[in-house]
Amino acid sequence: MQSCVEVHTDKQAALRHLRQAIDAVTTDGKSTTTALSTGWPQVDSVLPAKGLSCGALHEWFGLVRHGHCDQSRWTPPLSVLLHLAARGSRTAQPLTLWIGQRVWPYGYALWHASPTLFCSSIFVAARDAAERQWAMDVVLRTAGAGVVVVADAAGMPLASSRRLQLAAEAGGTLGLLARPPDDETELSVAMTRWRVKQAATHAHRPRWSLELVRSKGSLARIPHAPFWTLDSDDGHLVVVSPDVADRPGAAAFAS
Amino acid sequence: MWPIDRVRRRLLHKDPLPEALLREQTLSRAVTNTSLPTRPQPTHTPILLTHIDRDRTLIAACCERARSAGIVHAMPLAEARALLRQAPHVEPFSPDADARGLIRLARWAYRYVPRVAIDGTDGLLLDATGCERMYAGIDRLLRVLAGKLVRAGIGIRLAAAPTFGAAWAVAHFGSHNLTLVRQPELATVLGGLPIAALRLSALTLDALRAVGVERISELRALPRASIAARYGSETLLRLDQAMGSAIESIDAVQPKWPIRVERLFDGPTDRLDSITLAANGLVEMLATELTAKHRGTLSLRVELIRSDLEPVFILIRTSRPCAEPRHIWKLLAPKIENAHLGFGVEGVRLLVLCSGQLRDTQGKCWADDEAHPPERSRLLDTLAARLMPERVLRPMLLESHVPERAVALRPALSLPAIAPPAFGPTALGLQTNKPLRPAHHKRPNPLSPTSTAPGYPGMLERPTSLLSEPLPITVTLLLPDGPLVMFGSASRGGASHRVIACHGPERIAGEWWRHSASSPTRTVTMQCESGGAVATARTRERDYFRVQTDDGRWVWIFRESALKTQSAQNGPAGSSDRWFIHGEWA
Repeated sequence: MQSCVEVHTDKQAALRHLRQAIDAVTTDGKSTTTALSTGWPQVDSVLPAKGLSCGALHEWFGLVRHGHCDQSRWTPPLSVLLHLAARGSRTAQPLTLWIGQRVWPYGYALWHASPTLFCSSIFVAARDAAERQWAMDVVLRTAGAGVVVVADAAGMPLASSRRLQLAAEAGGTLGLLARPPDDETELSVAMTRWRVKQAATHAHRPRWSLELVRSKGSLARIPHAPFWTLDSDDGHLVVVSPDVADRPGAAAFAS
Repeated sequence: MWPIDRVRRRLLHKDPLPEALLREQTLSRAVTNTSLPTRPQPTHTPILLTHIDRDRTLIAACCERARSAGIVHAMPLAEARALLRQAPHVEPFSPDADARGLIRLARWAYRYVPRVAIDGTDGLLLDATGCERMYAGIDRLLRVLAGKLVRAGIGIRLAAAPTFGAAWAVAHFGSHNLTLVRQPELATVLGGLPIAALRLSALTLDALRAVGVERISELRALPRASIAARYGSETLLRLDQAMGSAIESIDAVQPKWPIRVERLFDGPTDRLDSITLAANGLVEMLATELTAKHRGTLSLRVELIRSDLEPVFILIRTSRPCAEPRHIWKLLAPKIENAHLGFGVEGVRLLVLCSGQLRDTQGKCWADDEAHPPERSRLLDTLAARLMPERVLRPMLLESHVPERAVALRPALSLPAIAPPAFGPTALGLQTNKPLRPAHHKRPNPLSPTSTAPGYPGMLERPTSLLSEPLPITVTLLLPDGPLVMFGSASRGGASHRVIACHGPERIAGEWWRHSASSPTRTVTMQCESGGAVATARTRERDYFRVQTDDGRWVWIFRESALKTQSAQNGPAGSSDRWFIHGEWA
């Protein structure tokens, strides 16, 4: 190691080299995992892998439903998950599994996100959390590029999260787990954790605020406010700057 | 006529005859001849089979109805069409398909007799030796066979006789459709039949007729030595075969044995590990057998034979023909563990109910070069085996614009394998009889998935999640039929949401083609998203609104408008409207 530092006079370069050396040891010499670009350059630039790394879990805390208009208190951030699954379905042989009835999107929205995604989607209905766990484990273990798992992971304990992370590593699959907002206190080994909320803006269309709660291995590099506003502009989800979304004229324009 | 019957059966969507499920029967002697010449059948559409001869389409075969209209063999098709009042079903005459169908019929007949042979283009020879004991008399067997075949829509002539030759003769030239000839009356019955019944060549028949021999009895009256000298030894042989003094052998159709392996234990055991071991060994054996036959199992039945109890049946279905012991075992193992063993298991039996041809796969050169589809179907099999097939679903767009009916979920195993993303509607998984055509809307261009065709409901017009059933709500309107101010849950009455933005309405009517135009009320079956539960609800025209609540949520609510006649009676418009919440942009 001493020699490394001598060769790389630059400290940053030395650090990078050391990091690669550690990666090589910890990943058993496997090539570095590929990453799925989120399609939002602002978000990608913050993530260490320049996207959501495959072979890992990513948790998405859903939206609270105030007022209890229906039975469930939360809903998964389906728009964001649809956007990401559609990006994932651009691989050569895509397969997307939606495990748990709660994360099943409406077919039209699925079709609109991408017809390819529609054709490669499989909906899995599980009776209880144990069956969901089993299904996630089986699917994540399936080695095959292009498999994306979107699953309802409400109340998942740390042990299960560890097991699923190992499964995802073994299969190299991308696991997107939707969790209720209350689960933020639960520990997990997910690579990234995100919080999605309704953006209370006066726009003509749905908007969400996206917050990066945790990103493994890149905390130092994340700027102070990993926070974006997503706008469903013309059917795509795009990142808009919050000040544009909340500009004073917006409210007057909408009302 | 066999070709016509075959075509008609296919048109009537009758299942192909079940493959032979065989009985072990002992062989002795008695002979049945089944022949299948004409028999009139009730039909709706005349059937014409054609062949092309020197650029002309000629009739090769036609049904009874067409024949009664004056259509004869080798008549040009145009002329035949002119003779018929009704549009006929026309298709090319296919002797190959007829022969294949006859072989299937022969295999089916194996369930009644131990040996079956094909006779010509439309006949079956059944060796029913010894079967009379099984059926309490050969006449009962005849009746059973005749009943089954007539019900299957196959015109038949059946005859049973002590020899193949006699049975053939009576079936073709006898006066009844169903004849049983016994040994004592054999000579009398045969004697009255024309010499053509002896299966002689046309040349010999002409020579015999030239000297005035018309009946078999007249032929038998001639001295044997002179028959052989004048008309060849074949004439004598045919005569002897019909009379039973010469042996006739038949070339039996190869029966299709079901692929089956079993292992019986010395005594009942309730030790799971020994049962598991035996079953695992059987799966290996089955896989070897399947591979040798180049077949793969699609549906496999595993029987655990229990003492003093009915056997446990475990059904294993795979999405593609599979002959891999590891995969089959993966599907089977958890089911065996859960099976109820009762007082002990006496044996394990594996029976392939449905199999398909194995697809050849190219050997892999590099590790990256893995073929994914088999892995994928294996994944689906695994999921379906544990969670039940109706819990692994695939979405499908249907031709409807009622939101809950526009998308259906179907079991993934029963649908064709995942279509690779290619171009065109068939590549998009739309092989149903009702393909996607969102009413008077253009299909979006699959090349640019995110581009929205004009008028096609886009991301903003349709929510990302749809409730399985519309949820009734109460609303507060600024004016009757005016802007929406507030809405709340109808059932709990408590929480209400202030509306800060409202877009709409988008009017969605029930599908007009589902109902008679005269009936004002429309009863529509609402398909829940779970796919299983079906509830009937009275659906009328709906006005959908996209509504933003004060906490930032966007929900999709609709007003089910009252009938025009009703609202006119009830007073001001909107008084009898019902409001529902139907989806959300989550």
